[in-house]
Amino acid sequence: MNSAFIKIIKLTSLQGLLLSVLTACGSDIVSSDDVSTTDAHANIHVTAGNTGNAYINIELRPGGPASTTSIELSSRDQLWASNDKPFSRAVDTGNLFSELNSMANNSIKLYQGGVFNYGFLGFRIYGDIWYSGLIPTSDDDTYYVSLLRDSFQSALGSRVSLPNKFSVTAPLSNESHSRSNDLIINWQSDQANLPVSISVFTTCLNDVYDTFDIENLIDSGSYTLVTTDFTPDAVGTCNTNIEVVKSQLGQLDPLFNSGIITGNRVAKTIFISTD
Amino acid sequence: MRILLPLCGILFTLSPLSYAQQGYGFLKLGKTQSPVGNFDSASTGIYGIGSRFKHVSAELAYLGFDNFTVNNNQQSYVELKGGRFSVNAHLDLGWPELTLGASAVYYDADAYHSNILIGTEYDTTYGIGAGLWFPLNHEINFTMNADLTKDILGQDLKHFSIGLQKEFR
Repeated sequence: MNSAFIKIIKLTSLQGLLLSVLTACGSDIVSSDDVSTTDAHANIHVTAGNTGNAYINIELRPGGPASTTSIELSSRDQLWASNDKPFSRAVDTGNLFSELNSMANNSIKLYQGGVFNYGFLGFRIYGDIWYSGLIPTSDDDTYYVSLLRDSFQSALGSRVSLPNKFSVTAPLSNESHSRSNDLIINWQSDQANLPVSISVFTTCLNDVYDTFDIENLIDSGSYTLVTTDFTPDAVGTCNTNIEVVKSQLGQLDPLFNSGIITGNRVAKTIFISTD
Repeated sequence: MRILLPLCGILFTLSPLSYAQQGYGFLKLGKTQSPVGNFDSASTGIYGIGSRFKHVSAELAYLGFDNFTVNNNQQSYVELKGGRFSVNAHLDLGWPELTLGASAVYYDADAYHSNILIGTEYDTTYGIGAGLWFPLNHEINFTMNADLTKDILGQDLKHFSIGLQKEFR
């Protein structure tokens, strides 16, 4: 065998191996054209702080929550979010100017994230697929998510209200605390008594990045971080961010097979943590 | 088209009549602004043909609207096209002339939100207008008009336009 032929064989083998790796890295994807609404599982999360826009995030999966396959919407299906009413194709065409102005202020189309296009030989590598967008907050803080479909029934009526706004009262921004002492986090609790989760992120000058989460707390208004919650690798002066999140369940459109819609209110603080 | 074709016919019938009465035909090029609340003001081209009699003129114009975009939102807009047949009375005040007119308007619109088509509408409506007509040299006239077109997609459109006419005798 001449050396050129051997090189071709090696190159072909390498490409085959690469294709296998790429395929293994990707997640399973199914087109929405192949999944009816009543077979779809929906995870919908609406998250907002005390100011700024609300962030909408949706994942769709065929079957139930255990599925590892993502649904990718075909060009004939759309996801919309609104802060005043369920999205509808029924538009008053006689008043298109005011209808459009209202829609532009109150509704957004959600766009796909999570697909990574890989140019080599035209392969596409998929991660999990989600749909997301930012929408202006409204006075009553109720948000609607609508799945418009061409070949199957549309699920227009998923909705959720966000928990009331609240603040973290301790530690206050730009205070300084030692990681060698327990740290009491205080926030404004209310009678809704919604489940609370806390996320702590610490970044240090020695390139240490540490994060941990505490979930399913009761809304007592206080939680104590103990010294062992911080990584021992954190050295010197660090920035520590704390996010306290209250979550509330909404009503998922009953046409979905299963799923959840949650409204999440986030309150943040950032302080300086030292040795 | 059902409306525009007869109007074209009327106009081409009127032109020879206007010549017979020492009138003339004209071509018009104009520009107009049509402000709509909460939308960026669309600049509109006017492309017309018409006939002038002694105290009356008739004009058929295509209104090539730019997109009406929702303020600061380039992905939400109305695409609007229109045709207008107008008749104007010319009142000779010396220089310029005052014109008072009425118009029939056909429009065709598509509305897009997040670049998705959300609605289509076409209809006919009417309008009124007043303007000034300045005869210049070389059979060219300068026009200034304020027009009000009723109920296009729920809005009364106000047009403020200027134009140039070239006479053909």
